Amino acid sequence: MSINEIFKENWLKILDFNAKIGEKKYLDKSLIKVRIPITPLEIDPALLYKLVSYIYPDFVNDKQHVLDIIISDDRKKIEKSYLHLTYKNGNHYKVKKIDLNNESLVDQDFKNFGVIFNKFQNNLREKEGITISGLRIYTEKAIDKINSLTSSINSIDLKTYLTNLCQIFYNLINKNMLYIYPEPSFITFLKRLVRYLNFIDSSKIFTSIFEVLPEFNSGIILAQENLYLLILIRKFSSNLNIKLLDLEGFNYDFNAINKKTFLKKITKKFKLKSTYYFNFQQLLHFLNDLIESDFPFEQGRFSLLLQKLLYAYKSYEINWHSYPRPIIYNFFIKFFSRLVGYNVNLKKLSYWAIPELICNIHNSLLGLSNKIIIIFTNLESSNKGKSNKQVSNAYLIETFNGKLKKISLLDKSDVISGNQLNSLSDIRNRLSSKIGYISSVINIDKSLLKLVVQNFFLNLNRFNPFAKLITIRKFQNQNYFNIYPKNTLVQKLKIKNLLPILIDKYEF
Amino acid sequence: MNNAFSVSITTGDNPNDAVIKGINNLGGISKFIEKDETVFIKINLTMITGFPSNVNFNTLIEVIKLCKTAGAKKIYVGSFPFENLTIKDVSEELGLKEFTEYFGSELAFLDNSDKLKISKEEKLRLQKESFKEVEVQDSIIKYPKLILNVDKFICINQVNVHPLFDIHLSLLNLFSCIPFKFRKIEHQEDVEKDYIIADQYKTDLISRILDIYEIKKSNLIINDLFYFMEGAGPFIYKDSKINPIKHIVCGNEAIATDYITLKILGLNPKKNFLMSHWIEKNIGISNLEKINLSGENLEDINFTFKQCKKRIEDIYVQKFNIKKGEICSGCFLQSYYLLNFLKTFFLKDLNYLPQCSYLVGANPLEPDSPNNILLYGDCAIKTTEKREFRTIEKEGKDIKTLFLKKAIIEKKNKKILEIPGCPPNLQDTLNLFLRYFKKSNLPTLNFYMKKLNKTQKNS
Repeated sequence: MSINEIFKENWLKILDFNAKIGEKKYLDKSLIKVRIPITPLEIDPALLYKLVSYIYPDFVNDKQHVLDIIISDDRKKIEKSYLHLTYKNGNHYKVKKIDLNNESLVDQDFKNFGVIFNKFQNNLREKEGITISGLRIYTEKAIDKINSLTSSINSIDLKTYLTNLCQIFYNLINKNMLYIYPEPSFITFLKRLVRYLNFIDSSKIFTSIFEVLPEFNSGIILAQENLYLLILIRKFSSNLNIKLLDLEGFNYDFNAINKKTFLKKITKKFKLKSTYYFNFQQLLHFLNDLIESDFPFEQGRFSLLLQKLLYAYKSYEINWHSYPRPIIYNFFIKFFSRLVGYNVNLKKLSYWAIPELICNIHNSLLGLSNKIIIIFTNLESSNKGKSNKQVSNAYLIETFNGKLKKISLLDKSDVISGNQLNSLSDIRNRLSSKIGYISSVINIDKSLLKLVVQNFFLNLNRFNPFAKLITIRKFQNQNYFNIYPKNTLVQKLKIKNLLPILIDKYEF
Repeated sequence: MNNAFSVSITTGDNPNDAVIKGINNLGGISKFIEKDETVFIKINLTMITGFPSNVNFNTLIEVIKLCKTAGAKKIYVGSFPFENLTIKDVSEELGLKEFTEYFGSELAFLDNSDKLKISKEEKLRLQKESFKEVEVQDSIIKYPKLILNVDKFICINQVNVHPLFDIHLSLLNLFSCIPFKFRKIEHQEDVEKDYIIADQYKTDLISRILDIYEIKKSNLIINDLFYFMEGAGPFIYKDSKINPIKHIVCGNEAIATDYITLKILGLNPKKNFLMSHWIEKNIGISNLEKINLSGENLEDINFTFKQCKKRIEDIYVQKFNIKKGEICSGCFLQSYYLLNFLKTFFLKDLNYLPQCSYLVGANPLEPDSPNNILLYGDCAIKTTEKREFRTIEKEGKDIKTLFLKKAIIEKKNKKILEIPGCPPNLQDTLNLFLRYFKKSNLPTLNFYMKKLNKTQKNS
């Protein structure tokens, strides 16, 4: 069992490049293009080198050398082992096949990885004089899975690749095919996430999210000292394209205080609809906070993370920039909307009060122990008639003391009879007798979610009050949004009444 | 009262299992319900909120199923909600009518709130028809005829912490067999010092609770401790938490069941106001100590839990400096609800408010400043009438010198909000807050009150 040639070739190219950087040899970067390992995304190896140096210490570990072991599926025999040597954390420069065949594994070892790690550590210290910082153990089946993912990497489209990646990650976690010691915090986070999603196939979740996203063509700049990464993302029909570019070669004035000109140039050069600029360091800090949190989050932790997110969102032109500028920041639009009673000043978003209010309302309305059902329908693929709603997915979400307990996928037969979605009251009562009391059943159509994303998150530069109004109105149309039992706080919700709660009163 | 008190303590993987075991330990459902009998199940139905403010519906489903297996002809489920809410308000927001029907029972609209668009006269006539005046201990209580007329009466009580009585016992649950307006203890005359010192409010309240209990005694009591709410209760507040105690106490008598429930929670029943009052009024504790206990061993159960704040000044609310005087249980209870409600939902509003002095009880402590003084309750209003903070001194033109010279003039302090009532009503208090602090300073409260008023208007 060995890793496939496509993967190997790319990996060796990366190692070669990293080795030359380590040896401070001259490099003509334009001649080389590599792929980010196990992905079809092409990248300049120098950019990859920088990215890894920034990401690896926070998310994996900040030490050197990693040992990879391939074991038999019965977890008894070591098939192959490779030592990845590094100059700098995460950036490997050499892979060395080593012989660990005299080492044996027993089931007990898998209960305490510290023991196996020390065993191999001592072995390598004796044989190679090297101290490793991490150990990755793959079963042969895991290699099979990775091979199946990477073998068609040059021909596969990104959407299919990402769906496959989710599927394979789910399998690796679910079927104990991959062990990492010490386990990086992001793996621990993802494992807990998968467990709390009650092993719902993550590819299904990815597909659902993908379907809800409208078409877009945007650029995201992640900037930090010595790193200016441009991610070009384009979604059209059912395809997704992502390109990664290093902006350092383009001679822009990165330090200009006004980012507008810079972003305008990027937008025009790459024929984008919009460009966003984020501080990479701050983004990493937030992601680090997120994955360091014990999942599922305690309500206090959830509040804190949401507060940080809302604070970042409100800090437009401080923490993030965009081109074109969202229309809502236009002075006249702000003035006019305030004149008609809508104070939509997002820079005054009450980031400090909203999360706690959400948590307390959730606890109070739905209860400290509750089960809710969310049904996603797809009117676009049905005949748009009320009587024939096509159900995409139905999820059962359970919380206890305000903390997520479990998310599970419901069988479609629980919510439909024949081809029709049952009445929400019927679904609630029937499932209450089957799985326990259901506090609420919510039905959302995907087309409505798509409109929300489009009109409130993506097309921020267009003054199109009617599109926004139509989207809000659709929440009152039971074909698109329905909630049972009816909730007067949610139903007939008027934005005008809600805005004073969401936006701070004082301008200064 | 004879010695046939039977109480069972059970546990299980879920409330359904525990309640089945509990009833079986008492001899099975057929011991309580006979074929073709009508049954009324009294539940906690307090507010438009989720569990555990209201009953655990999983336990309710199981009890309905059991009643049906025993051959009950008709099963009613019901209760009266908190303050101005109607049963229809709560039913619509929780989908209760359809829910109870689905499981073969009927939600009893004891307040006739399901009857739409009827004249005032018709309403009065219906009220007269639905309630019977029952004489208990020299007082007349209007009690729903439906409950009086059923063959069997079951009480499912979700046990939560309670600010006045430590925990929400089944006796308190049974108290909401009558509408909130009949439950209110209001003191119409001028407040006398003795009323507060003797805590007459609490004595009156306990007497009324015990009177209601005597009117129609439950055949089966279920104290549901499977998920016990601690920290703050009995409604869901910011500090409320669920503690999965996983026990259910069933009994054939409310006092006996509550007695065991208190013991399970490590509380001394003799020190519980409700229980001690009952013991004093009746023949003593001897009968309660001879309860036939079944199921889990009481000595093996030992739970500790976080009680409600028992002193009003211990409830921290941003911008509120609490200045307490001699306070009776009435103002304590309503203040407890108000302050917890404010700190749960109105974080943003509280941030907009100026520093306030919240004066409660007779002869409260001096406010920190003459600005924004909230006088909560009749006692606080009346006993501070001659206090210095009622007037403020301002520099102005002296009338005696025909406005030629400046002088210090005494003026009435307008920065005082008087919240009348003995004790004041929660909804009225919130409306007064809106008027005093202005709607723009209380965006969340304004939003909430609009919705609440609309809900009530619709029903």
